[in-house]
Amino acid sequence: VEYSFDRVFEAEYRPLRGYLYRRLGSGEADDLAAETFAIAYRRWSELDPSRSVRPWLYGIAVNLLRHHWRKERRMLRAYARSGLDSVLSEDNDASVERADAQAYRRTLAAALAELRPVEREILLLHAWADLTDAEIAEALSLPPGTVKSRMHRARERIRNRLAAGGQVEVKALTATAEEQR
Amino acid sequence: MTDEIQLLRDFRSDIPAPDEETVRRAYRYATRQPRAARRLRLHAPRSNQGRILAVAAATAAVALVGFLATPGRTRNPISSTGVAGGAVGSAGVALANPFALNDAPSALGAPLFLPYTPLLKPADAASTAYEQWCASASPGAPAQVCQVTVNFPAQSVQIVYSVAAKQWPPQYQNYVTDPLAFYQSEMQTSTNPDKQIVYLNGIPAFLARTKDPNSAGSFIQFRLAEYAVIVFAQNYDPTQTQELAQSMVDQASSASP
Repeated sequence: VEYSFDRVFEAEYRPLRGYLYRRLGSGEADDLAAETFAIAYRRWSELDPSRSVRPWLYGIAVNLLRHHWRKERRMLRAYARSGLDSVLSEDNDASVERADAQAYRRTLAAALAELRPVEREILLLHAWADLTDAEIAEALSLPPGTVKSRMHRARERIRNRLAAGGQVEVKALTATAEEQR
Repeated sequence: MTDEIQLLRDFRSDIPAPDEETVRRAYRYATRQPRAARRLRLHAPRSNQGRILAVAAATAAVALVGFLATPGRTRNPISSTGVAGGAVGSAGVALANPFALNDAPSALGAPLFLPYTPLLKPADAASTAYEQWCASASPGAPAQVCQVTVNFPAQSVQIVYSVAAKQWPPQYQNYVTDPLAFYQSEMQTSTNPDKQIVYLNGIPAFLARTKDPNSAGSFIQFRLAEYAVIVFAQNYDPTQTQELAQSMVDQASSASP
C-alpha cells in the first residue's frame, strides 16, 4: 500500500480528532490532532507501506496524549462528581442542561478515571478508535499479549464498577476468560 | 445484558465534527515544514529510547498484519504441536503465549539459528520472552506468515524470524524473492544517513543504524534459510550487529548438508 499524506489526512484527520475530542475536549483535540499530523508529515519516511497507517498515527497521538493523562483523569473525576462533562460542554453554552441524568455515564467516567493510564488508553483505542489488539500493540509499543491482558483487566474493572452501580450484569469470569483466549 | 464496550462507545459519542476551517488550519499546520523523502521500510525503529525491544515485538507482530484488512480468527495451521494455545486476535493474527525456544523448529517447520558470539549466546535468550504469532489474510483462512521473536534482554537484542506457511504473500515478495533489489531500493530512498548493504557469506543484508537519536542501536535484515530475519540491537553499533547476523549465517551454513 502506498500512502499519500493527503489521502491519509483526508481519511484519518476527522476520526483522530474525534478520538482526541472525546478524550480531552475540542480545544486540546484541535491542537493535538494538528500536531499529530505535523509529526506524521515530518516522519512520513518512517511509515511502512506494508502496514496499516492507523496504529502508526494513533501511536503518535498517544505519545502526545501522555502529557494530558492527569488532566484527563481530573476531568473524568469532575464529571463523575458533578455530572457536568467539560469535554462536551465546551461547545455548548447550555452546559448545565448537559448535566447527565444517566447515572451510568458518571459511573463510567469514574471507572475510566480509576483505570491506569495505559489501560485507559488500550480500552479507548479499542472502543473509540476501533483499533484491533494488534494495532493497539503497535500504537503503544506493547507486546500483543500485554495488550490483551490489560484490555481484559480494564474491561473487568469497568464492568465491576458498572455492576456495582447496577447498570450491567457481571459476566461470569469464566466466560470472560474464554472470550480473552 | 449491556456490554461495557457498547456503553463506552456511546459515551461522548455525540461530539460535533470539525468545521472546514479547522480542518484546513490543521492541514496547513501539519504541512508547513519540509517533509523527509518517502522511504520504504520493513520495520521502523521508534524514537522512544529504551523501548526498541518492545517496539520490535509489537511491530514485528503488526508487520505481519499490515496487509490484513479483514478481521477474523484463525488457529495456527503451521504448528503441528498447537503451540501455546494459539490465542487469536481480531485481525486474523494468532497471538500465542510465550513458548519454549526448542519448540520453534517444529512449530515453524524450519530450524532456528541464533547468534553465538562473544557478545551474545543462545543461552542469553530469555526463556519467558519468546513470542510467536501467525497471520492469515482473512477470517478462518490458513495462516500465511508466522513469526517468532526471541529476546535477549541483558543485551537489549531482539531477533524476529518470519516464515511463510506455504508461500510468501505478495506483500512480502519484493524483499523475499529479490532481497538485494529491495535493499538497493532502500539505499536509494532511505533518508537514514548510516546504512549499507553487506554480505554474509554471500547473502545480502541491509544494515543500518536506528534513526533514534537517543539510541546507539542498529538493525540488520536478511534472508536465512526459510526465514526473513531482522536483528534489532539497541546498544550495538552496525559492526557488532553484523557480527551477530554473521554468526547466524555461519551456523546455518555449517548445518546445511
